[in-house]
Amino acid sequence: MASQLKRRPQQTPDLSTPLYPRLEENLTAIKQTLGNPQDLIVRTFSIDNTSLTCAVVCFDGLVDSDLINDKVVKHIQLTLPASGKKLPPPGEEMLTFLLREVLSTIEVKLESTFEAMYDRVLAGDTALFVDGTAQTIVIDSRGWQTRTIDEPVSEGLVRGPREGFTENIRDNTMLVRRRVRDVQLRFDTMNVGRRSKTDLIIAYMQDIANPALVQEVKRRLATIDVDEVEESGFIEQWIEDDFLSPFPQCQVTERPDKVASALFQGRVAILLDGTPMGLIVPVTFSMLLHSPEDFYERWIVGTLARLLRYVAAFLAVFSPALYVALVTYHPGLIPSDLAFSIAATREGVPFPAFVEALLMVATMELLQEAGLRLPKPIGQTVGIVGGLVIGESAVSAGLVSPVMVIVVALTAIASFAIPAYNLALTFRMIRFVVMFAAAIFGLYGVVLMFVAIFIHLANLTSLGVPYLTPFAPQLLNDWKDLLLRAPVTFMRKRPETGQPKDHIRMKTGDAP
Amino acid sequence: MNNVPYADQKIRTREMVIIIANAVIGVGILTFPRSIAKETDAFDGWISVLIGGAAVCLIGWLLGKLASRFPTRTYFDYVALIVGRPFAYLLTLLFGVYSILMVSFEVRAVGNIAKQYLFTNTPVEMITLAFLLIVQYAVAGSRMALLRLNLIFLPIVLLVILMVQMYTLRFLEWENVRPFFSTDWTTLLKGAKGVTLSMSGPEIVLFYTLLMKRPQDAPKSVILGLAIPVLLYMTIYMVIIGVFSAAVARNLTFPTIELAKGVEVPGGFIERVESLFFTIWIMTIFNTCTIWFDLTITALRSVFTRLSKFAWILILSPIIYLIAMQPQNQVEFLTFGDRLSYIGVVIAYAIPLLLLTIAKLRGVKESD
Amino acid sequence: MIDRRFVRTALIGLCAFLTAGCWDQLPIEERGFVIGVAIDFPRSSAAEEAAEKEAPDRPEGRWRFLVTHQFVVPGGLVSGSQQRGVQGSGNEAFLNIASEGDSLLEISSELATRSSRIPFYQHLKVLIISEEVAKANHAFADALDFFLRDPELRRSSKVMIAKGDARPVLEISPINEKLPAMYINAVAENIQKNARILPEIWLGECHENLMNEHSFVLPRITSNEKEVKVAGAAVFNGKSNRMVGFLGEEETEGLNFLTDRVKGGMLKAVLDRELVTFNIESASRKIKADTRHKERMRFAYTITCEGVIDETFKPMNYLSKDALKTLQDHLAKEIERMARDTIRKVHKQMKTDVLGLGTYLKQEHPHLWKQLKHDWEYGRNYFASSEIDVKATVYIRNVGEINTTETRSRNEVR
Repeated sequence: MASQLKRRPQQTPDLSTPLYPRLEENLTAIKQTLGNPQDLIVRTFSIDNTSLTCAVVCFDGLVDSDLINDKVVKHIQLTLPASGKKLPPPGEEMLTFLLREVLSTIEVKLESTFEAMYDRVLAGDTALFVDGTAQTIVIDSRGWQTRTIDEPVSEGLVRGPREGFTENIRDNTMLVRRRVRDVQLRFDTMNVGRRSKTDLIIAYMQDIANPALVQEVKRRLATIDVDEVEESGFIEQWIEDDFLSPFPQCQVTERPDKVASALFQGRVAILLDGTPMGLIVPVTFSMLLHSPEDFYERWIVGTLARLLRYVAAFLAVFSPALYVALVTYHPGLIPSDLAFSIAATREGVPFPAFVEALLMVATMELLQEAGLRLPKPIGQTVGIVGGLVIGESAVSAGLVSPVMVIVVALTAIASFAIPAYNLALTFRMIRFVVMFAAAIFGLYGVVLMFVAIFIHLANLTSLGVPYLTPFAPQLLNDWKDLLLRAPVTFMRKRPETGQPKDHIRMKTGDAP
Repeated sequence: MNNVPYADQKIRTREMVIIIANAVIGVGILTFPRSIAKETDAFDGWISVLIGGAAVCLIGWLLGKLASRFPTRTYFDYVALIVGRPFAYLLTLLFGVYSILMVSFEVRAVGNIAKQYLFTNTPVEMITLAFLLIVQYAVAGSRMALLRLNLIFLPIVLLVILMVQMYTLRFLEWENVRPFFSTDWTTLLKGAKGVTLSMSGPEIVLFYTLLMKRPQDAPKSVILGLAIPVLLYMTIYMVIIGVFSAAVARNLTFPTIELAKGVEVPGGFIERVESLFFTIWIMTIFNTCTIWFDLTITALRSVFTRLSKFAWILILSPIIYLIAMQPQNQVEFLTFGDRLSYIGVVIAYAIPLLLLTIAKLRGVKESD
Repeated sequence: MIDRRFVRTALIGLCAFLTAGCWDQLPIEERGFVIGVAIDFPRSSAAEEAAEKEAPDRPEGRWRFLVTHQFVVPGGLVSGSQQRGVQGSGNEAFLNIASEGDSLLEISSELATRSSRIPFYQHLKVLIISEEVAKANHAFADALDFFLRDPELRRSSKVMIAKGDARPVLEISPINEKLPAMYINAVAENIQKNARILPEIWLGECHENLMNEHSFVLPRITSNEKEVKVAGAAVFNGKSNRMVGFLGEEETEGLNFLTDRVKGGMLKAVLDRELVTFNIESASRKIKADTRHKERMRFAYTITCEGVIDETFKPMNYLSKDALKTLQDHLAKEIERMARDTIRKVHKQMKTDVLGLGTYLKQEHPHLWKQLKHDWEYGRNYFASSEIDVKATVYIRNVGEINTTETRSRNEVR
């Protein structure tokens, strides 16, 4: 995978130059390198009533200006002289003095190279220069506008927290930390993208997650060597086991509660700055069909919902194909009355069943795609109304038979029942392949395709974990959470899918 | 990426049981009622099934014993240990040939039955070709994935077969069932012979024991694995005779499918359940085929070590296809099957048993 | 890596090959669903002579059959539909096509020359055979061979024998039903309401009956222009597989009682010259055999029947034990009367064991059966020389909502 993108030659000039001792030189160099943009703030002021000048360099919009004004500039300008402290001579000593005694912000650091300083300033920190010192104090002052924490758009629940990740990684880590107040929680940071320098956090529980797994995740992430990483999708595609497979090998979520439970299962979460979509690895097929609501509701409801989803998954992929196969090859399988009425309603239809099915499913795909682009309120209505209207008109025009419309509607609804959006996308693709098979060989083709899909799933792994666990390597303990959802008090052990280190999650199984 | 230790290389005992059960449930399940009904009268064929099944269990157990003496050796290796390399070459090659024939037979079986029950105009060549392609796809993947597919498909197959039996129970006529115990022992044994021959499959344990987590459990897993098909065969036979009567059963080419034809699901939702039954049956044949194909490749690779697995798949597939297309009609096909089972008795049962005896006598063990 | 890619490409290439044809594809509306088949002997030999003239050397069968296929015309099922593209074929939802030939397969393929839709038998519901075909030597089995052998057919089609010709049965035009064959199918299933209907016999069961040597019965169907009547039974001899005669409605009811096939129905009894009717809910029978002397075996049937009084013209107090006892006795006698009628006809006249006695012997006395099974209905005919007797008991569980409908004085003249 690393060989997919060739190494690009270094294009940026060498920035590991040390800072200049003189303030003007530093400021000029900065302005020149950055191209003197409008949002670059360079505010010079003096310390005390000495002739020492300082300058604060930051980007407007990225920084919390109140912080800079109050805690930095004001302190140096006003509070320092008022406190009567003696300023050491210019140099590292003075900066350390400022750092310790004057500045009242939490995060401060000393940097001495341009590169390091640019990294921080471009990320939203402020650099404080003092004339005569070839070092700078970098103050964490990130305070840009972010979206408020809102209900996750793609994963709404009826019962469950309504907090979703935002584009700010700090908010996201906060959300996770609030749910995992354990000392064993680890947030390992990384920087991906050579030029976008996006922050990435690998989250896991030190005493639960399999160390080999964490190691492997880190190893794969370290191989990323591109200019920019915009969305976690890129990360997903980079680290997945099989890029040719239509099936997703990472779980994508906007929900911090999902991430938290995944961490307790011994899995690893990857959060990326700039996107609310976090990744969870490893994932298995059954996990993609689980929804947090299965756990928040009582076990009977959870079990039934889950079984329904498995049925929905089957329908979403196989309904149009079964329709084509039955109508074209095996009408004997359909109950007599239904067979006659289907034949009756298909009397005037010009197309063979397969073409009809293809048309309708393709139209449905178009509608779904269109619905995504339209603004929220219109999008949903267009989807529903469009489907109904088009279906009705197609039927009265004699282009398709009513049964086909029902089948397609069923398929669409079934695929909406899949909790994982990326899996639903997969099903949309596979649906077509299975339809082709049905058109060629009827039910036989559908069965062969079914088998072929399973062959593929059996061979697929997600970070080394076979995709069909716990069906395939039969981990019977995990079956308590598979098709059924056993009552809470039964689930004493952690799922073994990730081979966690710590197996027990509940001390005793007794209900109160 | 082996960071998940359980993921790959070793099969658990429970999984081995399922694999063996799947390998045995094959074409035989469709035809065996006829061959037993031909010999025995009325209901008593179930005893034949039991006897035949017990015989296979015993043989399978001994095969398991042989394989588990050498828990980490391939077939070729331990045969070489027992009788020397030249014989090992010969015997492994023979086994390879036998398994090629098995794959061809099963593949053609699917083609024939699909042609008879699902299609009328489609040429049997295309049907068989499509099936062979899917089998190839499976074999080209990892071995463990192939074996894991067994775990997924067997429950479905068993469920459908049991459902078929349940729903047809209401057609059971007691007059077909009684009288009990009216056949004599010699006829029962004759029937048992048919059962034993149609239950080929346990010999795969010779090759797969080295993949097991606990190889010493191999014999036990063979017995458990065979118990499933034996019980299944028994119940199927009983239901078939009860519903059809022995006189009719010996006239039906595929009594099991005819049984499925009679199922009427209440509510009239599905009518021709035999198509459903049949599609499920394809899954178990698929498993059997992939296992045999995998065995062929393993056997041949131990002899000709230089060719890669994919090369073997490319070479073998046309051969298998051509062999599969050889029988020109149903009769030739069934004769092919019969002869194949006799060959199997020699290569898969007699020779390994001989090897086991030699190994015991010469005290050959793993450590050598 | 290279190997895998090559294999994959080769596989994909082969797959393209597969799209070359879909041989078996046939849109559902182009199939001719055959839901009923009627088999007769031809009335005129015109067709036969024509064929003879055309090809004098062609292979011939023992019989010539006139077969009527009833096709479904799906368009006619959907009346007043919203589809504009449908050609209204009037009100007819079915189409009968008759054809003659020596073999069923030949007839079936001949239909392809006349109908736009190829016959598709997977939904065949009823198979009606005329009594003439049933009585001819081996014609019945020959007629059924095609239906049993072809894998397309299911073994669950109902087989019935028509009184007279079979073709008119399919050619009825029932008033409220769209498809005659489905109507016939439904009527044949009404055994809960009437004990004179012989429970449906499936094609598969027919095969069983033909294969073993026990005599058997098939339901009888009669028709007039607008409706059919499924009542009565056709009796077949087990060895020759030929029909020997019909059983009337009451005789069939008796037969049902004797062979434990009653699922419902009604009984009438006369008490003091007034009629009382009894609704049967269930019935069962037991056989006891005295087989000491083979030539004169004695069989005793015990029939038990349960039900409720559903209608009565006799005013009396039904809630008394004595009244009920009297009634039960009368009803039991009625059952015995019917059963004895049946036995007389089957035992003495037809000398065919459709009472299930042979099967009984086979199950309960298998060694004896092995000895005499060749002499049961033939040879020494132990069946005919045996004695059969019937005893019935009736249990009235309920008398309904009311006791009497009107009050009448005892001495009122009728």
